[in-house]
Amino acid sequence: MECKVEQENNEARIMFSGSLTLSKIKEMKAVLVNVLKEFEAVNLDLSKVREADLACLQLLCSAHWTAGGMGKVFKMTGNRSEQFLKVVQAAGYDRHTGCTSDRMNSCLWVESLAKTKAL
Amino acid sequence: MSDDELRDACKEENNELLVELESALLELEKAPDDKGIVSRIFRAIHTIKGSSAMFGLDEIAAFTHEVETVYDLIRNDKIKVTRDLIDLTLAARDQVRTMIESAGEEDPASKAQAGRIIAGFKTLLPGVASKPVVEALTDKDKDSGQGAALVTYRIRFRPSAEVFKQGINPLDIIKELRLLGDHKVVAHTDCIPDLYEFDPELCYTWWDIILTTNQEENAIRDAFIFVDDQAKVKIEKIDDHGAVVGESGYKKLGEILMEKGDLTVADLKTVLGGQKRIGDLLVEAGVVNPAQIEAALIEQQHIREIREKQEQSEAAASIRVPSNKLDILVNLVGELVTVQARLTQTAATSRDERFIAIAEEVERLTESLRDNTMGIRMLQIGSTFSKFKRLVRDLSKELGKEIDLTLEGAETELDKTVIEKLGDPLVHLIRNCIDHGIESPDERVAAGKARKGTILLSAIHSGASVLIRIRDDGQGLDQESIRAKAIEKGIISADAVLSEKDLYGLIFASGFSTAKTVTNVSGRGVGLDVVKRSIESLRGEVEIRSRKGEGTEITLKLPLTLAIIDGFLVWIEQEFYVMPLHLVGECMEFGPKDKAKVQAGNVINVRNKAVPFLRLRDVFALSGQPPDIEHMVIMEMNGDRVGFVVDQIIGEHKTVIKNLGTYCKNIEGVAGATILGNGTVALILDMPRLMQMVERDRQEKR
Repeated sequence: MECKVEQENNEARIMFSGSLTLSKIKEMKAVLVNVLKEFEAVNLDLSKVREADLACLQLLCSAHWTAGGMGKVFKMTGNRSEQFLKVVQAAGYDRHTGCTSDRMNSCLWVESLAKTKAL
Repeated sequence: MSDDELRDACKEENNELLVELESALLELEKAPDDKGIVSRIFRAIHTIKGSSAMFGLDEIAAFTHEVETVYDLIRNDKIKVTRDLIDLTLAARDQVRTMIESAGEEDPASKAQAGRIIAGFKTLLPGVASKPVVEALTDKDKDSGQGAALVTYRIRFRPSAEVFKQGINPLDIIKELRLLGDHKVVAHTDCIPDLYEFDPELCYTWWDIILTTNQEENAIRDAFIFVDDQAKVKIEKIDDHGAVVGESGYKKLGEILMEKGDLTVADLKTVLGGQKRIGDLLVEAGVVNPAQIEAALIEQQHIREIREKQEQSEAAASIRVPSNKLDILVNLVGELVTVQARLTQTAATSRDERFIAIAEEVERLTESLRDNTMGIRMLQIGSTFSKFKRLVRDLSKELGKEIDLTLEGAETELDKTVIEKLGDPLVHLIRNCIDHGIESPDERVAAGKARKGTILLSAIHSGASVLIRIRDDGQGLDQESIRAKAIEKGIISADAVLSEKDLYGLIFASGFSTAKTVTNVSGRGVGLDVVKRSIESLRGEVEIRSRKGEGTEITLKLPLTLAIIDGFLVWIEQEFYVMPLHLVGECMEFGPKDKAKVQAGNVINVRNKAVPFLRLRDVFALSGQPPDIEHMVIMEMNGDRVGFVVDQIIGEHKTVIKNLGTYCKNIEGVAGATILGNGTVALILDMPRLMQMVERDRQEKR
């Protein structure tokens, strides 16, 4: 896994690339905890993800609703690699409406639905 | 059913599958990585195997089993699709057809060919052993024609949080379930904690899976075999499609949620006081979460989709009716149309209001009966078209050409008889295109064209006709060589002046071929004249357009149906005659003044254009005196205008065509007969032939 964080005003843009699987989740979590502490908004770029798994989806989901609880924005850019979208689809994460924790109405997986459907 | 009838049924079913197999193979050749096409091929082969086994054609079953094995491996990415493989499968397809045709007869040559094909397949599978055939031909295969009943299950899968630590990936289990059938997977994420409590090594997700499958429940349980003690799995049968088809709708949202234990009756009743949609109410009340609602909605939708699919497949299921029964039906409808015309006429003369009302009602019903009956005979031209993909592929390979065949309008419908009789002429035309039209790749490159030639085969409705076009981007027709050849063959005289259209028309003359070498594909000069004759026998027309170096377009104009036409009724010397209405261009009076203007050789000037004409009185040698004011019907065909002089014009008439019978069938200028409302017989005129007679007449006079 590689991670690049860019900063613009109060927004962090994180690009995760390579393999986001179980063994890297701890590392990924640390990155997310830090950026959520420092920034008002986090924008994830997953266009270079080569591999992902269920643990990665759970972590992103957790980060999303944690951010919501803090009144911060946590979203994904429009670009997601096909490999990533395939995992979202395989895990049945893509959906029409967010869960009760989705306070800002910005569920990561609602938007993914249109993209996974196009796969 | 007797053995023979069973064989016939099997033959018919397999023939359809073979057509599907062939077209899928040709598609696969273009898109070798398309798994969807591989599955289609596999299904076709599998069904042929199953039905052959069911009908006791074990030899075919054994043969197709070998082919199926190969496609199973392709499906599972064990071997790749290659051109050789497709060639071999096409050969296998042809072999199955031969075996079906000669079912029950010993044919050593066919056996040897089957052996060669199997050996060919085996070379493609190094190190992969095929299962013994006997083992593979289980009862399941024999039943496959009918297919096992579909059942929908609801599976709730809650893996333990520790499941990752056991080296188990729940997604693998879900993947395995997906292979069992149509499915919807909804993940529930409500147990995922916030980031600070999040343990990367725990699994927080659980799933609702809706699966429609023809497998037993045990097959589903098998998928969970490795997580037995690591997960809570609940499997419920929620829809048995065999049993409930026809029942409208599926369970309501509240019912689904209660069944799953996501909702209690008390909660539901409290919430239902309001007027909003139940899903929104339940979420607002906080008794269920949106993911649970979504899962239930998806379940509803899934069942609806599956039921719809099933209904569609049932609706699509057709009954086979022998075509002679259809012919009888069409004949009877024809008789009815005739009787109805008489009824209408009688009613009109009776002046009895009630009688007229009944006659009108009968007329309306007869018309819709007639249209429906004609509709039954309509077939899509697609099946005829797709035959040509193989023809083009094989021929272009044989002649070392590269050709793309594009099909358009395959869904266009035409009368069954027209479609049946159209096959051979189209084969001739396409062979000609490939052989004479499209140049070799090197010649094309030299001429600045793409290496690959294209042939477009299209069908389109145009009024009461269907236009079938064959267009190529080949070398086009060479007017000079056609002319030279026609003079050499004595078809035209050396000084004949011909329009471009007439010149191209010469290639349809008997004994005409400009090909310098005769290949076994075409060039023997038989064919195109036959094509023209067969199209004309279908009351169709052939038109040809070409530009040297750019290509040729041949258009066949065919009537939608052969049994009933819109006719134009005329009256000559106490007799009725019918002309095809679609050819009628205009009608005009032909009185003494017009007669005075007639130029030599029966040509009249109509709005400054010379129109040759023919007196039908003369053609049919009718005695008697013509009226002072006669009428002329000007017919238009292939851009030519020819007038026909008749005594009176009656008007439009729906005409049921009857054959004249063996003794009268060769009368020149008569295509058939019909019975009119008053019971009299009217001859149907063969306009193309009459127009040719006019042309011949003119040339003789010259």
